[in-house]
Amino acid sequence: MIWCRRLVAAGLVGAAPVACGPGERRHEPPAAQEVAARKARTDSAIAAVRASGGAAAEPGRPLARWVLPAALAEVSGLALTSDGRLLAHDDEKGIISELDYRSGRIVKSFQVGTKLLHGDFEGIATVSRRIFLATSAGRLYEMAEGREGEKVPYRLHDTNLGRHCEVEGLAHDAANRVLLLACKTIDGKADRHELVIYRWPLPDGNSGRMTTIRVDREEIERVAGLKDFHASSIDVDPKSGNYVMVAGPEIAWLEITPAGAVVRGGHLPEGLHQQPEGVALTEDGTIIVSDEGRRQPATITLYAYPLP
Amino acid sequence: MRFFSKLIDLATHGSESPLRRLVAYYVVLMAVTIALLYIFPVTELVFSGERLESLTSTPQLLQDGLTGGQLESPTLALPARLELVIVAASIMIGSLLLMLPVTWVYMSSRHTKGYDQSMVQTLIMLPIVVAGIVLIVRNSLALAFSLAGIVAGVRFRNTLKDPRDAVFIFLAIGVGLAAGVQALTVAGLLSMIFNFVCLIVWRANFGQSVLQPRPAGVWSEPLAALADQKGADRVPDRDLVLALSPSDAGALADRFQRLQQLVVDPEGNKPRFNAVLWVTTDQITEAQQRVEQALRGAVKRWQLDEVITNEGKPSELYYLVRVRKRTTPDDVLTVVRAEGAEFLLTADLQLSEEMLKKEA
Repeated sequence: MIWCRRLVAAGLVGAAPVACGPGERRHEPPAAQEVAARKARTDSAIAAVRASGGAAAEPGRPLARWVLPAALAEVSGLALTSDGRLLAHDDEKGIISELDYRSGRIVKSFQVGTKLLHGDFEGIATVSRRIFLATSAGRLYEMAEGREGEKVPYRLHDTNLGRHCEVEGLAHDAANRVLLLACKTIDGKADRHELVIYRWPLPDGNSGRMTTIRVDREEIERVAGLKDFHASSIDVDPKSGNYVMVAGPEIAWLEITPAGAVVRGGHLPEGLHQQPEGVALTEDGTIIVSDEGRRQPATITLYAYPLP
Repeated sequence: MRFFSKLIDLATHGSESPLRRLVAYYVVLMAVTIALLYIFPVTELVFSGERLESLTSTPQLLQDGLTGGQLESPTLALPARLELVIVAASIMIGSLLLMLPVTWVYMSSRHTKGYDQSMVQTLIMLPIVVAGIVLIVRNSLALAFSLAGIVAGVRFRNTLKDPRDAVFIFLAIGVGLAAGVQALTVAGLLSMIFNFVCLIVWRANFGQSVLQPRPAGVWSEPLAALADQKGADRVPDRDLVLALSPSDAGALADRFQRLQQLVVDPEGNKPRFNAVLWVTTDQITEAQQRVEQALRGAVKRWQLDEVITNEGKPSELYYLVRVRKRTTPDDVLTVVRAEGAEFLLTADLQLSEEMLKKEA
């Protein structure tokens, strides 16, 4: 069976993936019927959760889970556009892909800059029709959305946060007109007992001041039961306006208010996550978590929010 | 290469059949490929056709992680530059390995008229260059236009003598393109199917007009003439004669006839010569001087019969000689070899029937 899988993976057997053993599902090439069937399946799972008032029938069971190809093994941040489309970016290359999270499909990919950028890209956020991509050093690349295969020009902003904070997450807080930059680690002994999030005013010509949210790690442990939490991504819950984060090393999630009060949190379901690197929340109460590929391929997983 | 050759010999029990050797080569190549995929999963990149897919088809459907069974291990993540080096090297070596059997088939099927050594070398090199160019151009329209400009500037043109040569060139380009878009599987199939079709077409003489007589029919009479005068069905190299054009075979027949008159007199008279001395050399003038100097004392009489000057391989000298009664052929050869040691590559003495009987 493993021989069969190797041959399939090498493209030596069949143009499309084939079944390599009893009970194994045969994956057909992209077809309209298959896409429609997948969408219907995911929509019905989401609708069932909404009908039950937000509580999943099996708490912790994903609504859907999609395996990303090798080209997206380094998937990092996630962001939803204003019309609800999911964008994901590569950790090391300036490439952004649009994923249809309902049918499990790569819709398009485009490149940041005319020359392929290499760096440590850690977060993505959409602001109206603009996209912001953050590096761990706190640099922000601002660009428009590209078409399939397009190389889009960008504008670079430096938040100057790189000296103090290893930026790991980026999100747009529309209510406060700021970009949220979550720090995985912080430089300075005094700040190590706190989870720090910077609120960087949008570079839209209006004056603004950068503010900081500090969450006491003891408070996180007391409310969410998480001894440690190194944020790897952040997003804003469109329902409540709260900030939701995931932590890669701890495989955990956390919700805080814009004022910094811990609401809830916990570990992500066991066995389904290797290293959560991105999070996005939809208006219909779904949380999407992306995992970078390690021993297993990269994935995106959908759950009903809030998680158990 | 020697290792591959030994492996193929082992697999085919030393068979010289091109079809068997070709099958063995591809089997060995596939085994090596599968082993590589196991040991270095990153090589999957050059077989996946990932770039071809990205050029031709989006959107792409993802595997369902809930119902799709066990998840496959991802491709080993490597630094981008190392990945590029591995992919580029694998593609170029892969296209070389896939073109080797094509050149063998070319050499087998075109070994007589119209055979061109530079064509064989081109077949080896062209796909490597094409694959490299495709790797560089990638999706860039600007680079593609630049390439077109450069090619136009170089003004490379060549008229191929035979349409079949053009097909081989197209195949080389096809293999290079397939390798360049990381679809070595397609390149492998292209090479394999082309070779087998080519061999079968050649072996079956496919396309032969039913009105045109077959080679065996055309050559039955000349072959009979070339056969031994005493009635025994001995033709020196029947296949070689069959492979010649009528004019080449005519020249060969003339040579046989001339030699027969000089070395084997059909009328039973004592021939003037009883052996042919054949030497090969890279320095024909010096070798000729030395051989003739040696022959002056070593044989009763001698005569330079033919000088064949070759390029890229040793030239040949043929002497008709009359060996003395008290001298043995080995004595003659020893003297010739000793005298021309610096300049001769090989020296051989072909004896007439009279001499052979005497030796026996």
